[in-house]
Amino acid sequence: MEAYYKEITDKIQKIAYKLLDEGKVDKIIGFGKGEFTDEVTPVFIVNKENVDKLLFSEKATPFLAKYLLNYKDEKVAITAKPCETRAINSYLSENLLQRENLIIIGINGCRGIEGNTACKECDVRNPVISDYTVGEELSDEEVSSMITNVYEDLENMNPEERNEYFQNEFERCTRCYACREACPVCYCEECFTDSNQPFWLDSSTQLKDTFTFHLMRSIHMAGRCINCGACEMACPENIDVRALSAKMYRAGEEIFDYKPGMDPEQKTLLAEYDVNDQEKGFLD
Amino acid sequence: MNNNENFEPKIVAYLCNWCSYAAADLAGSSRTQYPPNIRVIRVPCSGRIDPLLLIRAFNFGADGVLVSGCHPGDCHYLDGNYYARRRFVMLKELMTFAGIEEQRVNFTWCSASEGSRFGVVVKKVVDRVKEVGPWQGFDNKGFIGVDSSEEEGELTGGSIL
Amino acid sequence: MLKVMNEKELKQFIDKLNNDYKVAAPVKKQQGKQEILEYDYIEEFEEIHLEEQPDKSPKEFFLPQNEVLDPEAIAKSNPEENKTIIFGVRSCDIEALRVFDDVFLDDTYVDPYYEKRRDNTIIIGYSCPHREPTCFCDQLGISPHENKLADLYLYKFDDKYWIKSINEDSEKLIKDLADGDEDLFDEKLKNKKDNFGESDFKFNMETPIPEEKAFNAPIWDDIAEKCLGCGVCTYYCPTCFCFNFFFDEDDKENQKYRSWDSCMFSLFTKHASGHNPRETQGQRWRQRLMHKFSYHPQNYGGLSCVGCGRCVKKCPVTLDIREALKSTEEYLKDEGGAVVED
Repeated sequence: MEAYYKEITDKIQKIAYKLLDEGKVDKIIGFGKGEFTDEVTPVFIVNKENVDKLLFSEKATPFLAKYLLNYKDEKVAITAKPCETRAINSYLSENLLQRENLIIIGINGCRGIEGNTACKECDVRNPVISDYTVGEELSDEEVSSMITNVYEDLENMNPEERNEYFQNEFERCTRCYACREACPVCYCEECFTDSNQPFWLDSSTQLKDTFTFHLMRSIHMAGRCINCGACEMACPENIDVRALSAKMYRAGEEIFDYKPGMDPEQKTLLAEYDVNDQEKGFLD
Repeated sequence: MNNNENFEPKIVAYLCNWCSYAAADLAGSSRTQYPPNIRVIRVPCSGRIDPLLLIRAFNFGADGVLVSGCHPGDCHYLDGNYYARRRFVMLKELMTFAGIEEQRVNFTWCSASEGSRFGVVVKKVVDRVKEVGPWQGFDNKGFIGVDSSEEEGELTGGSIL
Repeated sequence: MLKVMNEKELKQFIDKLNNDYKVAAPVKKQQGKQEILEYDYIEEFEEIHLEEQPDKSPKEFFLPQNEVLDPEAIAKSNPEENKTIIFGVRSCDIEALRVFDDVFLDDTYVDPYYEKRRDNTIIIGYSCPHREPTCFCDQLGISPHENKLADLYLYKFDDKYWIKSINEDSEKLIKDLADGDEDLFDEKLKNKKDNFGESDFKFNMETPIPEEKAFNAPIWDDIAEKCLGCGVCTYYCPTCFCFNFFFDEDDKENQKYRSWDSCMFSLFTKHASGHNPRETQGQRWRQRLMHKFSYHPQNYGGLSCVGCGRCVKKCPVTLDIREALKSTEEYLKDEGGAVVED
């Protein structure tokens, strides 16, 4: 596996060098090693001499696509895992980025990131939008064979047990907002938690407030969450932050046959309607 | 869940101005008998309902919520209730998954002429919420028998002082 | 006073303390997929885990994340009933208390809540057994081996525990233990210091960092480019103390609360007019670093960073404060003017 990732790293560096050399982009956003640690961290390359900092491996935990929102008017290239390409599609469909300004180096056949449980459920392992690709694609059969249902136990519990589980998890939330900041689809300029008028919730870490925060955040992302797992990787307390949003992802698929981020022209789930939508859960 | 015979739930009802609120009004002027547990909030359209409003109602002490709008196809604003329909389906999925009893969160369509039906709907909602008892809060933790305030008190320095 | 114990005697020592005081120490807890090491009150000696740096500092014991501000209750409370001992605190976290004392026990205003807690807590330090990859306390003038600000200090050499008292009050806690040989102790301590290893990161700047030069440096946007703007570094930092007030809407008595706030949040400095003097993440990062290495030393005389490395460990994108310091040092060196010692 190491040799495979080394190969991908070399290819990425070559593409990056070419792009900077030809002046096609001003900046490359990618993964790199920290100077004093072995952790993989985002790097921003502007000189072609520095492309040897770029790499890709199974430890590439940060989620890079969100940084694109900081460079809306510049020409940037980005090394993107398949889930990140879905986030890029979401941005394009919501008119946050211009396609001409982007060069996407997609990673084919993503085998998953270490420690990210979302990768175990992932069914989109090849980029959905890209200008260059590196690595070997995975076929549909291979992809389906890699899927496990991470939340099977949680789904089978009754509601009281689930409530208890969530209360246990959210009790240690420190309201650091790492999940919100790491999330690619959470990009409101003023988040509802900071809103004063109207005032939605306290900034304390009492359980009633932390539970409400996670519940409210999940419903805001319904239909846009791409189930990438950036939230749970960012959480410093190892809280199962992804559980609620993953449910929204599954509900979108099962009830409305909808997968976010597959197409740059696609509208988000709740921005559209069908006159024949079903009314699951309504009073009869 | 306790089935306290004297429990009178507090239900917050968001009614759309053009159909459901008119239905409630008609129920009133026709002297329809229905339970007094609902507190009505009039909104222009069911599509205006932000899911946060419903979650906030629980934080303020509501035991259940009811949202009622025009029938799909009859929205005064043409398609507000279509958007609302999708939103409510997703919200209900999320809330039942998070462990909030599904009887507490109720959505329906009620047209302006359905005054007596409105009374029936309210009675049904009140019965459903009575089944599941009072809302204990997002931090009830009654199940595992731990008093959460005591645990927090330790680290918030309550014991040092 | 220097005493020595074996592990059994240490257990008896802790159990005896547990009778008279509330003892808190680093314990392992299962959280989700991983185990975390944090300070909590203990019942049994076996719960204590001293081998690794705890994920959380004992900051919560002195500045809780949420706190009711009730001046009457504070004035009436009798803390003698609840004297606490925090056992196994490393040098970095002990030094952090100096920073808190600077700020909360300032001559002009003494924070009564902090004061009560600080006066009623005894700190037993623990000499770090080994360097972690993210530690750099010794680069900032703090010794990982001992710290004079603790009341008692525990050292482990081979399988014996040595304990030293720093002041008279703490002597009475250990006076019944067996005396330790001073020369043997010095030899073992020197041996440990010689074999402790060096950090990869070298800090060569003279502090306080020159304020104007560093403030106007063009380096901050690059340093903060990958910063997400969450509050993880500030919440886990043992010296960060910023807080915000609020009134809990559910509280029938409508009391005032305070809870932690973070300068990394984008709305931290937003004025009611709508103007935000720190609009970019680069400006906010500049504030964080300058506060720790320039403003606090100017105001109080010591650094406000203790080199514990938790911000590096916990950051979701591993933004390394050491790399930021290195960039600052390189810029200042190039610019000349700032005294940079070799």
